[in-house]
Amino acid sequence: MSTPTSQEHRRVYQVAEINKIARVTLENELGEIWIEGELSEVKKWPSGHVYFSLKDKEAVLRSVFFKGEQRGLNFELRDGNKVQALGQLTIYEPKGQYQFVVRRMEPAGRGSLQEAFEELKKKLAAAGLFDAARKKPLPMLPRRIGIVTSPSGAAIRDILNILTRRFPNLYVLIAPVKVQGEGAAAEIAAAMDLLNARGGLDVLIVGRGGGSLEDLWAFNEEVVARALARSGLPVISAVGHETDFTISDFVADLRAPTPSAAAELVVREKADFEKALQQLATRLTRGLRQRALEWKNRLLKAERSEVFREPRNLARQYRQRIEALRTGLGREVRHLLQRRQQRLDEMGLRFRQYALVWRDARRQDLRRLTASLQALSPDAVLERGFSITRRADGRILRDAADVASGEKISTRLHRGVVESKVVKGGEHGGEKS
Amino acid sequence: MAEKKAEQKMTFEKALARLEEIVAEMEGGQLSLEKMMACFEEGTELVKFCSGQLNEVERKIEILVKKGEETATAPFEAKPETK
Repeated sequence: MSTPTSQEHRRVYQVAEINKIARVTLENELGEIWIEGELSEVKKWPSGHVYFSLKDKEAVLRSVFFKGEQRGLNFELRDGNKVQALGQLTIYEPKGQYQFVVRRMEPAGRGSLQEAFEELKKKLAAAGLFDAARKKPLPMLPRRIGIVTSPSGAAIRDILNILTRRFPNLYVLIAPVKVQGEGAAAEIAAAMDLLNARGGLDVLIVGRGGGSLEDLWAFNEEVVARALARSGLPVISAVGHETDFTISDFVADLRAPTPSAAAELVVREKADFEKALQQLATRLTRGLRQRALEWKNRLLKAERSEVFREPRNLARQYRQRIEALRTGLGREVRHLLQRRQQRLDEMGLRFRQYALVWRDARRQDLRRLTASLQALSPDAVLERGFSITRRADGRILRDAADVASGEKISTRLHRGVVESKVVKGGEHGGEKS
Repeated sequence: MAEKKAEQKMTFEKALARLEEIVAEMEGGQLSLEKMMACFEEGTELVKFCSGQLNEVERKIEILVKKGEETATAPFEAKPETK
């Protein structure tokens, strides 16, 4: 036996002392470390501290996650979840129990999910599924909307609230699906295909409310991406919160940051449309009325001037058109232009008279204009025996003083051009050419 | 015939855009009487069309339900807020 047995050679530790030494040694030796394992026996105390075990197939490690360290935690701690935890191995001295004190925790799946995400994103981008050119524009006025989501989540409630508030008379068809877990992606894809096949819809919203990366995962699956890509209807994807980006968001025709936002992006306020339409209708009649007043004045003027012919056929034509217009108005006015009706009717009668006069005056004007144009044309003047003489530099000669003896000039006649040399020039008082 | 075809393809946005164009043209003051009347008639039709489109659909919220192999629709009532 080599173990020292004599009392005086023994180094005897107190319990508290050795626990402390063990703790310090352990802490100094290992420092901060990452440990991967599965959560089990997760217990949240009223204090907010969470006690649990990390385990793998062969061993278990008692761990604690104090409340003060949990700020960055963005997922729920549940038995069976695989995690990676950063912390320090230490010993709880009073009990001599060693445990892992966690400072930060991440889902262990994250790394591999992130990789899968990037890989699929690259693949679908290469296949052209994200191309801006294949994005379909949303209709300005969608009135029949298909929604692919869970019928029990907050998302559907939010969407319906906003849709019906903005536009009370919409048709909404919900295709209920599982939005997370086994088989969710396939259900979502099938629902999109089904809504497309049923027809009669204008646009689709596909999405769900917020959740962890794992919860949103169905929207990162290729089946969903492919279904989005082949949808004939424009699709808005609305998955999770503003900060969540999924593959679906890239493939959809439009990405909404949240389900509520999707509803807002799809449907504009009905009241806004009504207002815009009302304004256009008002401008339409006002435009006509103003022009009518202008015409009235111009035509009254025209009426006073010169010869009219009898445009009987024209009168009949205009009368027919005005009648047709008044009939059309009669129907329309009831809905939109009530106050304008009488005025327009009166105006219609006046148009009948003005039309005759106006057409005639216009014809007369045209005739006069053509005559004047003819009189002004140089050809007509030349025909009457006048000519145009230009200097060598092309300037038209209007004054004898502008030309010197010996200078070359050219004279254009009704037919042909005469080139001449000036015998005597540069004097005033002569005849102008 | 051609007119009918055009009407079938008419959408709300096209109608609204055309209406805006017509109104702007009429306000521009360069149109002949005949053109003006034609514009007014067309504009009136477009107003009627757009207004019809706004009110055409009745409010209805439905959910797809499976009935054996078939899918049917049923009225949907959102569950009241639980949180």
